[in-house]
Amino acid sequence: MNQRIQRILIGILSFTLYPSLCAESQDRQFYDAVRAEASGDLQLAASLYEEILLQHQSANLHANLGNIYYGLSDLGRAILHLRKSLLLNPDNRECRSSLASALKKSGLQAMPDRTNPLFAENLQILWGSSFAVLFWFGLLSLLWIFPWNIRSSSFWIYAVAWKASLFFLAWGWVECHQQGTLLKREVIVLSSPPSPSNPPEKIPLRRFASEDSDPNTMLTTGTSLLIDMNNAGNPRIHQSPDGTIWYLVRSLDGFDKGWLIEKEFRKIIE
Amino acid sequence: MNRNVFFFLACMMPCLVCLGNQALRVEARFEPSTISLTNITTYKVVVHGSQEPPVGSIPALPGLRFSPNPRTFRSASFINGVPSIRFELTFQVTPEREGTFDFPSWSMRVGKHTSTAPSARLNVLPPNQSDRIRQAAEKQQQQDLREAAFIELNCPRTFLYEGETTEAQISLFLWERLPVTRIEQIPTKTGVGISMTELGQPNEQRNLRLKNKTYTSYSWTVGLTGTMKGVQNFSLSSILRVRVKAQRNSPLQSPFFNDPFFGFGREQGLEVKTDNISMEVRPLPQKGRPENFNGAIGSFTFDTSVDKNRVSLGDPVRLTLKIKGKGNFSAMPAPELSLGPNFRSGPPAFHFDGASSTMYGGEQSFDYVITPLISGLLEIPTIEFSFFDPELETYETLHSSAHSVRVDPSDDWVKPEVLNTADNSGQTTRPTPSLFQTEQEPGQWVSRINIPDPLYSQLFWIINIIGFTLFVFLLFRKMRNKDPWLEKLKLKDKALQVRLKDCVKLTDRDGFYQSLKRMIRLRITMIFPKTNISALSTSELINLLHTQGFPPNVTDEISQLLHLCETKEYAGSDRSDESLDSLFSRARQIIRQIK
Repeated sequence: MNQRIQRILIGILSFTLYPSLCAESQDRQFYDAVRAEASGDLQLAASLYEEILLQHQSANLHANLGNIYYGLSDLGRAILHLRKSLLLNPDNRECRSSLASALKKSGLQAMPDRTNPLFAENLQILWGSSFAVLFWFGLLSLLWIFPWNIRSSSFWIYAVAWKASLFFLAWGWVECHQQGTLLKREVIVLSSPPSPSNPPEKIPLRRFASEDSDPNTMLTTGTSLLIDMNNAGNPRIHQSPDGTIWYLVRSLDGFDKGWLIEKEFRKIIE
Repeated sequence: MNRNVFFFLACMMPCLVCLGNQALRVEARFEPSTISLTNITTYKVVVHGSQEPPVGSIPALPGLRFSPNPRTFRSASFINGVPSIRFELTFQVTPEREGTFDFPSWSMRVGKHTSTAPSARLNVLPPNQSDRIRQAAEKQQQQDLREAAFIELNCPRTFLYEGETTEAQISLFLWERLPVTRIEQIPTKTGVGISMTELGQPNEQRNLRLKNKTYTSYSWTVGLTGTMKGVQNFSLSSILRVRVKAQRNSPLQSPFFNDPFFGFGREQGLEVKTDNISMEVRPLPQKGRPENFNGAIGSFTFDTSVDKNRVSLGDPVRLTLKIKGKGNFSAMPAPELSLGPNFRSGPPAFHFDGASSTMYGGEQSFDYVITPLISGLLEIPTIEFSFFDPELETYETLHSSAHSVRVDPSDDWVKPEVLNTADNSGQTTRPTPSLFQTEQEPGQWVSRINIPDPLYSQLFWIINIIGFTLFVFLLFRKMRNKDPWLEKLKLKDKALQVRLKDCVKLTDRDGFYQSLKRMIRLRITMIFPKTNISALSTSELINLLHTQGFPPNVTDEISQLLHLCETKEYAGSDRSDESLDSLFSRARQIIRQIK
């Protein structure tokens, strides 16, 4: 009997401790990366961080990785990870100013505020929940306070005000959702890591999905682009005979459009 | 019963033993052994004495084509009281030339035994008259089907330059007698090297006479762009849904025509495909290519304008470049501006006005916002726009006219610092210092970056569940708390309505007035449940309705009707000349308003 209880207790303990043990492993790797960075081995630190990213992510990890890539003059990846860090922790002002510095250094315009902060993509739950609260509150009020008395003018005033508020909240919700959709389509242009003998290259935005096609424009690494979608909501891609997958992308302002290979960019939300 | 079964088995036992011991014998023959060239025959191999499939390979004979998958057939029978089992293999054979074919014997393995199929002879005669007629009929049928639905591509250009866009028209012609239920797939292109814009809504034309037939055509205007050099082959195909007869093996053979049950069968997909379309894509000539050529191909005119001639230092000026004509607008980048050190310009805003589906003909505007950096009378230099004209096969360069802008000095304007962009750093990059102090703690781990979505949020669904539950609860409660007194009055009201109608039918004026009076009073009782309506006079009732806000015309009507009813009841006289029908409809309209 005692042995059985012991086994059950060991089972429960191992079950409860397993996540924390796993968590410790990525924490340990993070500290190793921080030490490597402190000792000046940026390449090793970057590889350790990238290894953690295969399983887990955190705002601080992306911020540190952005910092390391900035140190390695790989501005595209620096911008990408700083953007990811800001998505996980939008209140990190230090990270925001770092991103502005990285963008300025790469010759790009500061991150445009696409919309009113009221309609930011992370406020979807607030808008959606407010909509649900108002919808049910209004419906129950109509049922409770104005029981079928549609002759009274106060009923109609109340109903119209309720509907107008619902429209406003639905509009806000849709705006937030659209911001989220745009963010899911957003990619950052990356080039091969630069070295002292190999300065950061520019990526051609080709007119056609072919290596020898003329470029529409040359893209600076770190540029934000949007993947073009077809009517079914899938990315517009083209597979060339050698198996290379090309994506049709356009600039944020929609003026530049062209084809990029899969390896020339990375999505912010993967 | 059991005894009978035993007796039957005892009788059958010798037969079953005989079956197992039957000697193997193989027959092989062509059925029929004489055919004409346009017909097919079968090569049949029969293995007597076994039901196991033979294993072996049939020798190839030039001039005869055997079907790869033979049909098999096993049988067991009694022939003249002797049990027999056999296995049949049947190949379909198609002759490719006339003559006599001696098919050689060949060996096969049946179970543990090896047997030999005997040789067989096939005579293939020249096609006779009926074969020729049938062949011609089949050919005609194929031709008819091809004429019943076909696709045409009308392209004004015989070749394209790489990157050139031209407008073409794809037309799908459907014979009016072809029972098309819908176009399942609009024409799509197969083949690389030429890109095609998406197809929009078709232009439908009916009753087109072509080749002595009447057609309906669906046309799409598309833009074709040559993307890869060389001779490019492509085809266009579309899939239609057509009704065909349900019976597959109809003697009439044609699924679409000459069928008496035509139009009542199942639906089937019919692919309509063009032959291979070849189009050459030529490279752009290098000779005479301007330096500022950036891929515009077509025939264009070019014009520029500014929105202001006089501004203060720091105020923006809108410079608009308009390119009009026909060409590859979809692949046309904005012309590069070289405005010199006096102006700073941002990226342009694009606007296309024209055929947006093909982006071929129209007007493309590029709006640049330029900012003067110094004061004085400044000149916006001329802007060049180069393009290749595929008709003339030459490069053209157009120049805009120069514009003068007077820039007044402004006190609060500070010249902006020009950013050090990465592209002008031709020198090697050096590791740059870090941006901020490295975070020492990892922070909160997440498995992936997500955008919060209410539909996956617990809070959202909890609110909805609570709201819905309360709604259902309130609704249920309301339904249970119905006032029984009011319900009783409603029942009475319905009964009185029926009685009123009966009175009209039977022209019972007394009953009509009584029912009407009771009904009006009943309706007023429903509005004022706490007032004893039966104790009030007509004038008091009308006053009561006035206080509730009923319009005067309604109260007047009610008053008139009640007076009529009372006159009939108390004085016994009917002073109204109105018929009961019109009185009923008038009363019904008034009663509807008493709510």
